[in-house]
Amino acid sequence: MTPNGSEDDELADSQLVLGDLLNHVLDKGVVISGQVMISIADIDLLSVDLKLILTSVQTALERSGSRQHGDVSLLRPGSAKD
Amino acid sequence: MVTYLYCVLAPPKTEAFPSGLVGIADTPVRVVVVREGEGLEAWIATIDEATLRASGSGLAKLAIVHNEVVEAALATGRTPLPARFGTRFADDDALLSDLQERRAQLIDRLHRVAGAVEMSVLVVPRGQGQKHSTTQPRRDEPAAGRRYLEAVRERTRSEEQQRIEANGVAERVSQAVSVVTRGEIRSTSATVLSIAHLVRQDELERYRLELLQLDVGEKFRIIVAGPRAPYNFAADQSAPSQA
Repeated sequence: MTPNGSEDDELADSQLVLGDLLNHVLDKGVVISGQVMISIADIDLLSVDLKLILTSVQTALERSGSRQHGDVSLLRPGSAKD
Repeated sequence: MVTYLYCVLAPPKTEAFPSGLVGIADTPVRVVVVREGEGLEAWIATIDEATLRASGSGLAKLAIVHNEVVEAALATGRTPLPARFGTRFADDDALLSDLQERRAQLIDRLHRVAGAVEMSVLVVPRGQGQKHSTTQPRRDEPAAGRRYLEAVRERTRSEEQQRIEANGVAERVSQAVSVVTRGEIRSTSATVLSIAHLVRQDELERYRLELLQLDVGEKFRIIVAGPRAPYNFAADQSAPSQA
């Protein structure tokens, strides 16, 4: 779990969570006859350098405002958001 | 221009659609409905096909926007079947025709995920950032080739041992939350084991509590992410997969 983690740990956790989410968005989900276009469908994003990706998706993340794509604080007492 | 599919929902509830929602390439998201039987609702957009020809960070940005639209669908109180990123059709008619053809399968799958969300548990080795420091032998060093191969073998053994131990942690995670999960799918990358769980929304607190109380030992830690739409539980094995 992530309690008592340093800022570095939290950044690393955020990267892992985002990488996990991207993996699922790009590689899972229902396929209905139509065509699926994806340039790197066979690449496991967790295995590429996520720091490079994260640097350039920062803008997209900021655009989403307070919504969290991967909530690494869910397990912290008192942080439940439901 | 093509019709891009974000997700499918049931029953149709178009009044819940958030007005002004935009998706990929800042294109407005629209709703179409298949009325027959129980009915289906699809969230779509008309986009330039070239927009999808992205890779690397550009692709990651598009995927995040795709997920934002799916999250907006989840926020309507229904659990959507998220479409795989990049699913597009020649036009709305082609989409509606396919939805109609597969209506029964889609509704069956929507029933399976109804009232639930996907949670994700990542099993991460502690000190993951610290790479194995296998020093490269000097070219003129005696038996340099042998030393290199021994180092590779040692690293491979270490990674295999780590995989075995990570699977052990995953088993403990699975047992801890088995009472509150309706499905589980595991996937692995080079360093991280990811466990997707389908969890009823009204069981989320209990799910979190079970994981909070779980001791995973000193070698690993777990990160819990979600809730999100059930990407892992939306796939239909009988569906054709085109890339």
